[in-house]
Amino acid sequence: MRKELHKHTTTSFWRMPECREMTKVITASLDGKLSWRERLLMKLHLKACDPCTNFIEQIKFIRTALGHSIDKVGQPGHSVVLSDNARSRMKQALETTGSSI
Amino acid sequence: MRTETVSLPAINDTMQAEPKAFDPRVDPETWVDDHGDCLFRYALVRLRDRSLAEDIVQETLLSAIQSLDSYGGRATERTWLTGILKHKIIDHFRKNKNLVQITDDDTDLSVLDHFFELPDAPDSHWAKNIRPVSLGQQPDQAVENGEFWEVMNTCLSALPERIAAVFALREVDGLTSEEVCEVLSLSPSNFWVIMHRARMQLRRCIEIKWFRKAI
Repeated sequence: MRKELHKHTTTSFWRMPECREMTKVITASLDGKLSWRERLLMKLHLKACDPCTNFIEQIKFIRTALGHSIDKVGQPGHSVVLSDNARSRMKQALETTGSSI
Repeated sequence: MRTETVSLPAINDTMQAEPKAFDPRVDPETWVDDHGDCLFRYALVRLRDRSLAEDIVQETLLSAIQSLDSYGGRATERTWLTGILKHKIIDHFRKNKNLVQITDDDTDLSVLDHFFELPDAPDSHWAKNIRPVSLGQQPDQAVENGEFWEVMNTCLSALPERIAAVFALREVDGLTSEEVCEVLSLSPSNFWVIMHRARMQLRRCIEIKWFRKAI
């Protein structure tokens, strides 16, 4: 994984990347190890850039929220429900398996 | 780095340390009525196929009834069942690698051009009206707020389905980057492009519908 992550910034070695390039490094920092250069660039950039600081806060917040949400997410409207057919099939199967334990 | 071998108890061992007596809080007869719809929606949003989602929910309930002993009562019944369902879905992805076929469209980052000041340039600052705003004090309250979850679900379903599938495995189901790549047979570079796109678009959507309003 590390090798590929190394290439998040496409800017030349000495040019300081701007926000667009930095957002790539910032999102990658949530999924794996950055190279030392990327870590340094990110640190310097975040010191001077409020929108990117807000950006990393937001995506970290989304991560934390989702991390506690395994049974909250994935419910696209409560109108999506099991069909009666599936419901009775499942009850039947549970009963059969339950009584054989 | 040196790896030391320390033997830690497996999660299952810890759970089974509980007495194996039947837990009165668990009542399989009510599972379908109490949790069926919720588990079904969880499966459907990931698998996008009604009959497949139904089958996998049924399989989950049957597995659960056969492993009642492992339910230590620490999680709620629903969280426990959802955990089993999650593993069933991951197994399903693993066995059917072609379920999430990433296309060139999915990894095209030009959809993010308008977020930046100079859309045609490879690099530039955030566009003025799109600059991320500060979260302020809201994070803790948001998670308790039903409206926030509606926004979250709306924004997740606004993502292209394959991108949402990758993102959900990583951020909702908590797989590591390596695991997601392995389960879906994704290359690491496609994985990070997809995660980047998902985060950029999701954050923007939630910002419009929630962060800005909540400040």
